[in-house]
Formats: sequence, structure tokens, C-alpha cells
Amino acid sequence: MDIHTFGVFAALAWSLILLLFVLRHKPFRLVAVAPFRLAAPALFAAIATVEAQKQGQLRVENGELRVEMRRGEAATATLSSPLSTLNSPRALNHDNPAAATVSPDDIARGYRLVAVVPHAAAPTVATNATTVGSWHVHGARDDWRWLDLSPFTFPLGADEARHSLVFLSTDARLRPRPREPGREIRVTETDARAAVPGVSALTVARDAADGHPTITWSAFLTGDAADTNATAQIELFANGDFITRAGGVESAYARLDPADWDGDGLANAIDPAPTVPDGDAFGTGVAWLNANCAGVLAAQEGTDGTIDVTWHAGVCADAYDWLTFTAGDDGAHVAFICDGASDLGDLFVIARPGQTCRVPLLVGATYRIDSSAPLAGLASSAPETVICPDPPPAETRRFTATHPLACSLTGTAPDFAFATVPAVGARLTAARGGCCPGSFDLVTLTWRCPAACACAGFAHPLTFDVTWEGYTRSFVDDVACLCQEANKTDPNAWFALDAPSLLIKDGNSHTVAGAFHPPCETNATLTLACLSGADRLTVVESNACAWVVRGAAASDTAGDVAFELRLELDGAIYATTQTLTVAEVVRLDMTSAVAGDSACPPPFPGGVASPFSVTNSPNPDRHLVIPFHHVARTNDFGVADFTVDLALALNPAVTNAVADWELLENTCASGALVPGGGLSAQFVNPRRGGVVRVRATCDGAPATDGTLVLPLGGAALDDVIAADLAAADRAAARLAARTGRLTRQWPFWGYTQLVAFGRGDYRGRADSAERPTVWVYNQIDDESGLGAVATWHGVNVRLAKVSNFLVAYTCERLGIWHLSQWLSQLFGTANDEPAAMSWAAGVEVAAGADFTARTALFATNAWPLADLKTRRLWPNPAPADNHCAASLFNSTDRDPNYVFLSPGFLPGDDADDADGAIPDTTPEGDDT
Amino acid sequence: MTTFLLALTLPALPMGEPPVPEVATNLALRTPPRHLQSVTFQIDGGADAGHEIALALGTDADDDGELAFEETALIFGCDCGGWYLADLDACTVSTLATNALVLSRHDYDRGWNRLRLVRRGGGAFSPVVTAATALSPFIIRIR
Repeated sequence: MDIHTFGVFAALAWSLILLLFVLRHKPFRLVAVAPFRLAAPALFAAIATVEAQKQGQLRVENGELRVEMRRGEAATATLSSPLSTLNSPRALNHDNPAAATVSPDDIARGYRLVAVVPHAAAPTVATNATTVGSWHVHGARDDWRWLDLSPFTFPLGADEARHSLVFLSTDARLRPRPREPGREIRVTETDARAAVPGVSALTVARDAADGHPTITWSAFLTGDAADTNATAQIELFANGDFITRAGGVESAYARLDPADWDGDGLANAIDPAPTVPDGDAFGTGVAWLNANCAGVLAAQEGTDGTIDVTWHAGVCADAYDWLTFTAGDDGAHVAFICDGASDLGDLFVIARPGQTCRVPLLVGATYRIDSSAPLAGLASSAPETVICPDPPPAETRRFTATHPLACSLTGTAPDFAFATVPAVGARLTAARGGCCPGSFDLVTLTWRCPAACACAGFAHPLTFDVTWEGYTRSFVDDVACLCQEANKTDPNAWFALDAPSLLIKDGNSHTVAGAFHPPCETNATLTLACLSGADRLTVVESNACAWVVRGAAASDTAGDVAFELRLELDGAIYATTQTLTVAEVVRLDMTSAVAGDSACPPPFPGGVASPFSVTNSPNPDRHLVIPFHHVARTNDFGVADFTVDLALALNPAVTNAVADWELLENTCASGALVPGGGLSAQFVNPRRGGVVRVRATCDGAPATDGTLVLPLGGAALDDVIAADLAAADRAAARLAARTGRLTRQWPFWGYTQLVAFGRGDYRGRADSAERPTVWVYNQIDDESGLGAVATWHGVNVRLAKVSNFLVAYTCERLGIWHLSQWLSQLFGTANDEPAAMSWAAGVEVAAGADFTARTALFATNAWPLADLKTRRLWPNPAPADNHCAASLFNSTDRDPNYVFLSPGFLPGDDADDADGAIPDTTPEGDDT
Repeated sequence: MTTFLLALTLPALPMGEPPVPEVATNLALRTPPRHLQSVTFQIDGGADAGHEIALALGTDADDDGELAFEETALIFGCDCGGWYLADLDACTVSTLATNALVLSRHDYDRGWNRLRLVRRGGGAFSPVVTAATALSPFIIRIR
């Protein structure tokens, strides 16, 4: 050895001594960081092999390969040869780590081998390691133990699923899903390992910093001889990377991103070579822009570190905004899905932790943003862009982003120009709808209505297809056609004053309003004013072009209230006027060709409720009367057809009003109210007597009432007279028993027993509550109760005639000579013809004639000869319900207007008058 | 041996040989009757602190007569005195309180055709494994 050689060795020796001294006395950690990205094969070739002797630890963290030497360990790290020159352990059968592409097997497994280093020493077991299972107790050869790594989780496989429970075999395999062999980490391919009791052990140790586990198979039998035991180890990382140690080598594996197999930052969906890592395209740098947005731009590094973007020819730069956001601590995969096809297309961003990204988005399109992790600082370069969490408000990973684009046609028919705000270079590519087809080029629309167009000039919704930057959307706009332009200022077409021509005083309110229909004229001004007659109105509400008014006072003349509508459009003024009348309801006329004389005849006052009471007499309420004999048919006592005309009268007289008619009351139970349109109506063809009340209203004004009276006579007495006939028999029998025949021939005896003191008269007014008679037409003497008309056999007769009949009947039953009967009739009022007819009927019935037939013949024959009072009353079919005993009629509070009584000589059913006399309490009246 | 018996005592396994004292046997299972109500497996004398006895059920997909780990659906057994049930389909492992496993007709896959019995550990160890089935007394078929 020469001195030079010795010097070299000496220097090396001292250097080694110094290094050992430093390692021994100064804790340190040597970290050699290989400057490459895991998935950047272009850099793989430049990486040298790392030889770590003894306890060198190899890590893959955040895409960087690290070799760590710990204190006290003699170590050298030599970058001697590229990784590509290393032989991958044949038993692992992994791909060549220097391969330029990701293999299908890598994709299927979800990880790939990225580095292999010699690792001569057996893997060590950390002091805090714990034993898994009981193989160290009883041994095993073909067994799997389970190990729960919670809370640690890690991904393994070609999906994003994370696992914490793993199954471990005796031959150093690890599976998160035991029945999926493809989802597996296998340390070596030596499949004949076994656990030996008391020798082998499966342990797990947790990293003190982040808790990632290291699983160690210690001293497992690899053959049949006990001295061939070996140790294997798997160190798992939370990001899916892992390291295996066995057989003198340490192998580093990196997880493949399922969305970006080659790990170049371009998502598989848009990467033209998804298995070839061809550039750093993480975030949205130059590489990302050129890969994602090549359809619209080209990017390059600027001189000051910025990115220069050059838009392609024909691209409208204003059609794009820039959206910025920051990925979270774990990075993020972010998809920007456009709601339609465009030159820009959908965008996919793979961002590193905390990386700020900048993405171009098309104006007018809507993007759905879907991120794998929460995003921060989401903002657009355009303040108009609306970014909404989906769903709002707390969502931090999903959003929608839209920069609204307003599209419209400007101009007037027939020439329109298409424009957008903001201007994005949009072109009109189709137009549909409207009354007539239009022609269009890319920016203009010519829409001309031919003369035959029948659209009446209304505006039309047109649908446009608009395209910009390869993106197409439809818009709808209301557009005025040529017909509308022509009619715009025509008062008869578009510019109109809508007002009623008539208001009824104190009636409903109505709106006077101006209207201008073209929807595209936003600069038109309408003004409404009352030129005259404002004092006739009450204004309920008003604004510039609409008044709500009510009639307050009647017009002096028709149309004396005038409104004017003024339209100011494009500097010109157009005006139109309209007049109206305020009318007042002044009366209700009620007439009929068969009407009689009423004590209080129509017309009825307007706006007044006019009641009618049947008992008001002799001054009745206002009414129109139809006497029975004006409409009665004498052959059958039926009623001929007739009408009653009703009409509201207004002041000023107008003809365009309409009245509403209502039947308030109709005790006739017949007839019909027929509105005639306008202000008139008719009440037609009643068949029975009664009271009819009608009400007319006109446009909400106070109602006007009217009354038609078909006066009923007194109620029917058929049952009462039949009963009285039996009573007359009993009276005759008693009198006959107490007097001699000659005595009864004496006229004064007859006068005393059957006439004096009203003994022979029906008194009071026979009536029915259901169908009451009208007092003013059926008056009686308030004192004597004489004078009423009632109904017998459906025909009205004076009660005096009935009395006459009953006395004649009794006389005949007493055997009084006809001469004496004649003489007796000399007392009282002289008989008229109906009275003679009634006497004859009584005599004949007493002589044996049929009571019903003979009296019906009398009633019908006597009616034509009866007085006016009898004939003008309508027959009353209701039976009398106010027939009272004599004692009541004779009481001090009797009122013959409300009750009526049979003749006094008639005894009651149980009368026991010893002398046949009847109390004389009733003064004699003058009844005809 | 092919079995799906109402009551069966599974064969006792011989003692293993060091250094890896593990022995196993496989039994073919027939398709159970349709009126099967439940199957009960019971291991007596298996709660030994130094041994493991495991009973695995599954489908021998490759029909090689061996129920491989990938073919196993359920493992029931006692490992050094602790009873466990591993459901390899659901990727769950749970401890059991008793030495019996009852599988209802819904839990028992009619496709299972292999039962594997494993013993690990040396020395005297004589567990007895029995299987019993419960059948419905009758079946109502509605056509």
C-alpha cells in the first residue's frame, strides 16, 4: 500500500468515525426524499435506486418516496442505479415499477408497485405490538385470523370503499373482504407458511403519530422444517399506500386513484390516455387547461409565473367566466357538469390538498358542481353568477352555478334584432310560433303579417333557439306582430276606455278603467279624468287609469257624466271619452186590463218596501186589485187567463237597465212571475184568489215592492151549514112540542122566535187563517156583525142569504103555513131576488129536497144576481176556522171582525132550554 | 361421506403432528329438505384454552372436495376458549355466548354443499361436534 493509497483509506476511515460519532451523540433523522410524483413515469427513469442497509425505512407519503434512517444505525443511501434496473421480486409478479403505463392488473387491484429496495434484515416488531389471534398458542397452517383496525381505515381495490376489518392468512395475505381474492395484499407468493405453536406470532403495531398499523408475521414456517421460518410485514397507510417487507426486500405500493388511474391529474373520463401519466395536470394549471379546455383555449406559462390563456379564433371570451375554489385538506375531485353540450364541455378537476383552482364556465349555461370533499372560497369572476348550495344552505360539496343570460328581440314589427345581455356572440338558429311565419338570419328576424292575418293584433309568444359556443338553449319572448303595430293607437282596438253606460243611484259600484293592450309598450302613460258630472258620483277607489264609482245622484239628462282617457305614447297624445248616466228608480208600475178600483192604487214608490195587510180597512195598503167577476167564467166559475204587467220606471228614462224580479209572497198558490228582460215583468194566470207580493231590484239599488190583490171572500161554510141544519131540526122539534099549531101560525110568534134580536142571522166574518179574506173588500158592521160574504159550494154568497135559507127551513119544519111564512118575511129588510131564492131553497129542503144539490143550485144561480160586493170577491176554498159559540160572540170583548156565529135560535148539541127561548143580547142590524 | 342428517355426530379428528398440529376434514352436504326449520350445531368439550375447533359452511364451487377459505360463508368455532361466528359474506365477526349455533331456514343457504371441520392444537383434546335439524311437521302447498 503506498502512502497515497493509505491517505485515501485514512481519510475514509476518519470520515466513517466522524459519521459514527455524530450518529451516536446527536439524534437525527436522515430523510432522503426522492423528488418524483408517484404517478409520473416520465420521472421514474431518472430516479436512482435507494439502498437502505439495516433498518432503513421506506415510505410513500403524499406521492413522495422517502427513505428514513434512524439514530444509531449505520446507514448509507446510495443512488446508484435507476429503479427500472431493479428486478422486481419474481415471486410478487408485479409489474415493472418503471413501466410507463398503468396495467389492467394494477387497475383491477387498485394499487401498483412503485419502488423496491433491498431489506436484508428481518422486519422488526415494534415494542408496542400486540398479538393477533391464538396462532402462537395452537398453531395453524391453513387459517385466517381477523383483525379490527378501527378507527384506522384504508382503501383497497378499484373503488373508493374504505375498510377497517381485515382478514389475515398464515401465508401473509391480507383481505378486507375474505371472499374477494382480487382485493388482496400478498407479501410473498410462498403459500406453504404455517404458524408454529410457541414460535410463530401474528402481531400488529400502531404508529405513534397517526395510528397507521404495521402487521407482522414473525417466525412462520415456510417449509416442513422448523428452521425455515421467516418473517413478513405489511405497513398500511390511510391513503391506501402500503409497504411490504419480506425475503430481504422492501416494496412500496401506491394506491391508484379510481378516477385517475395514471395519476396525472386528468380524470379518466376526459383523459385521452387514462393509463399513461403524461403530465402534471392537478388543479387547473396550464396542463389542466390544455387538457380540459382545448376546445376553446390554449394555455401556456407566462413569464411572471402566471398563465397566459389564448382563446381560439371564433371564441367569444366574454362568454366565459372564471370560477375559483380551494380544495380541502384531503384534496378533492370536482366535476362540473353542464346542462347541455358546448364547445367547452364538462370539466373534471383533481386537486391536491389546499390547492386553489380556477375553472372557466360558460355564461348562460347551468353547471352542476359535484365534489368529493368540501370546497371553500367558491367565487366567480362575474358578480352576476349565482352559486347555490344544493340543497341549500349547508351543503358544501354540491352546488349549481349559473350566469344568467337575457335573450330578447328588440325593435318593432316587422324588423327585429336579436341580442343578449351580456353579449356572448349568440346566434339565432330557429324561431317558432306566432301568428305568421317569419324569416330570420343569425341576428335578425323579419316578421310580417300579411293582409289576411286574422290574429286581431295580439302579441304572441315566440320560441327562439339560440346558440353560442356550441351551446343551444330555447327562449320564449312575447313579441308584438305587425297587426298589433297597426292597431296600437286605435281606440277601437287597443286603446280603450272601459266604463258602464249606466249607474243606478245607490246601487252597485262599477269600474271605469283605461286599457292599453300591447304588452311591449312599456313607455305608454295612461291618465283617466272625469270631465263632467263628477258630483253625480261617489268615488270608492281611484288610480291613474281606473276609478271605482257608485251613483250618488240622478243625472239631469242621460249621459251627463263624461270620462276621458288620455294615452301618451312616443310624445303623441291620444284621447277617448265615454259618457254614462246615473239613473234613479222612481216607481213600480203595476197594471192589468182586468184590474178593478183600488182604494189605494199603484204605482208603488221606488226604493221602498211596501207591505200589505189584509186587515187594514177601510184604508188599505197600496195595491192593485183584480175582482173575481172580471175574470170569472160564469158557466163553471173557473178563471180566465189574464196578465198583470209590472215595470220599473227610472229617471232619467233609460232602456238599458235590467231589473231582478222576486216573488215575495203568493197566497194564490197559482200564477207565475215572468221577467220580461230589461225593467219589466208579468204575473200571469193565477187561478185562485189571494195576495201576491213582488220585489224588483236594479243593480243593487234599494228594492221596490208591489202588491197584487185577488180578494178572497169569507171562508167556506159547507160543514157549518150542514151542522146547523141538524140543529134547526132539533129547534123545530122543541118549539113544536111546546106550542100549538095555530099559535105557530101567528106572525108575531115567528118573529119572536126566529127573527127578533138577530136570532135568525149568521153574524161576524167567516175566515181562515191560512187563506184570509181581505177586509176592505169584505166589510161588516162592526156592531151587529152583519154584512159578510162567505163561500158555499165554491161560490160566494151573502151570509144573510144563508140565514134566510135556515129560517125558511125551520118554518117549514114547524108546519107554518105558507101564507104565514110570506107574512113573516115582511119583517126586516125586504127580500131581493137572491133572498127569495134562498127562502124557497129552505122550504124545499125541509119538504124533502136533497140538501146538497138544492143548496148548490141556489148558490150558483144566485151568484150572477148577487151584488157587487159578493161578485168581486174570489171564492175561498179554505174551511172557516173562526166559528165560535154564541157565548163568546156575546161576550164583552167580542169582535165580529174576527169571529162568526150561527143563528141564535139554533140550540147547541146539549142545549136544554126549557122554554125554547134564546137569550136576547144581539142588537138587530140592517142586513140585506 | 354425504350427509344432511336429522342428527349427526361429526367424526372426531385425529391429533395433529408438530410443528403444525392442524387437521381438517370435509363433509359433503345434501340440499336440505324444503320443510327444514332450523339447523343446530353444537360443540361440546371444545372450550379449551390451548386449542381451536372450527366448523365452516359454504359452497365448494370448484368441486375439489375441499372447502377453501374463499368458498366459506360461515365459520363457527371456539378459539382458545372463546366462541365466535365469522360471517364471511357480511365481513363481520362476532363473539358467541354459547357453544351452540342455531341457523334458521332463512339463515341456512340451501346452496351450501360442504362442511369443513378443523382442529388446531396438540395433546389431548376431544371435542364432540353434533348437528341436528328441525323439520316442519307438514307443508301446505297452494296451487
